[in-house]
Amino acid sequence: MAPPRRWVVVLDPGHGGKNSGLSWKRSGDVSEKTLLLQLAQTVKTNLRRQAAVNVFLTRRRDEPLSILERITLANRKGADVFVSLHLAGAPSSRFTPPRIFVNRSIRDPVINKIVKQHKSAGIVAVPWDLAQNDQIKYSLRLGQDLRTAWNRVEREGSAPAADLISGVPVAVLSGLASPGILLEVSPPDGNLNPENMEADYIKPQAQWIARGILRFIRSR
Amino acid sequence: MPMNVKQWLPSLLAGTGVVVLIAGALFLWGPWSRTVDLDGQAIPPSQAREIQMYFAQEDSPDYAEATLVVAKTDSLRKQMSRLLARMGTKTGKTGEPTLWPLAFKVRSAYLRSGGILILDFEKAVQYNQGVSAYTELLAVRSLLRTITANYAEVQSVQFLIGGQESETLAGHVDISRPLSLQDVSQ
Repeated sequence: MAPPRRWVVVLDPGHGGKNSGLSWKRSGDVSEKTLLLQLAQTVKTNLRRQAAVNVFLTRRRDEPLSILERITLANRKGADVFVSLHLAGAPSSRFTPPRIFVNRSIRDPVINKIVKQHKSAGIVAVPWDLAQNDQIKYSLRLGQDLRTAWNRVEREGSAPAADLISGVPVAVLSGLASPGILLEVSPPDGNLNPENMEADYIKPQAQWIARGILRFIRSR
Repeated sequence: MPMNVKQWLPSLLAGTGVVVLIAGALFLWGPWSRTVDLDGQAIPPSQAREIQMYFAQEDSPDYAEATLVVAKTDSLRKQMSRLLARMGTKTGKTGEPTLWPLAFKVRSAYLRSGGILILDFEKAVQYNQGVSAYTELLAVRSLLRTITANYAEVQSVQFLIGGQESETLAGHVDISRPLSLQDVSQ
């Protein structure tokens, strides 16, 4: 009997290299790119602890990576789930709920015509630009599962619900041949002591994100 | 007894000076002088064109609005430069919105067939804009709403950076294709 298929999850810590993303100064310089790398690594640990999944990170250190390279890696690994991680803002005392972005469906009459011509010639080709089109409904479901995970676990009745923003052009999701979302995570509290970042911010965030991804995988 | 030139000339010059000063003060005080272009030159009322600016808001589906005056005679590039400069400037006035957080300078702006406005930004400031995906989306939405509302011939905008097609302006929103307002609205 063949072993059960292992799901492939690709996590994309946003930014990297000279593209630091948001940055702020509090007990030393901190930047979005560094925080997101820590977060992605912790989500990976959580996922592997809870399920038989292969998890890949688009970057494992501080390095510049183009959007095309991120998508190419996900497609090459045969991703079942793709989550690009970003921050919803710099740390402040004002709480910002997570925002989940789902790409728009692209209609391009010129490309559609070429696809039809290929099809009639017996060639099945999915143009890069339109690769996400067939995945939009699953991407939406992934977004809903992440939103549910946040709302159930983290809100505790007081925090605002996560926002699901769909049908907008998201660069890192264009050309993606799997369900995928861009997740803007709530930033840390501006008063959080950097020494407690791991325990009070990274771990709780990683937990609900991993739960959301597993919820999606298990429903498929 | 008639006054000679030496007697009346200083008075005449002083009088003329006062008149010039008063006229200058009136000009500076006048409403037209409040409208200046990017170089600080006053825009005469006959050449002024009002642009209604729309600012997408984080907590509301409605747009905040403000007015900008540009010169009708200005090139499209100059009008766009002025628009972007205003959208990124904090005026300090109560209720005056500011949204466009991306520090871009307009390199060129021209209209292509099919109602596509080509908006080409300087390359040097592409990185480290330091904005979230949502802020970037709202900024692009504000700009598209403002441009399409004021320039009837524009249906979509193709952003370029340094004359080249680019993936994003600040790392998130896909600008590889021309974008209409509908494309960036939920």
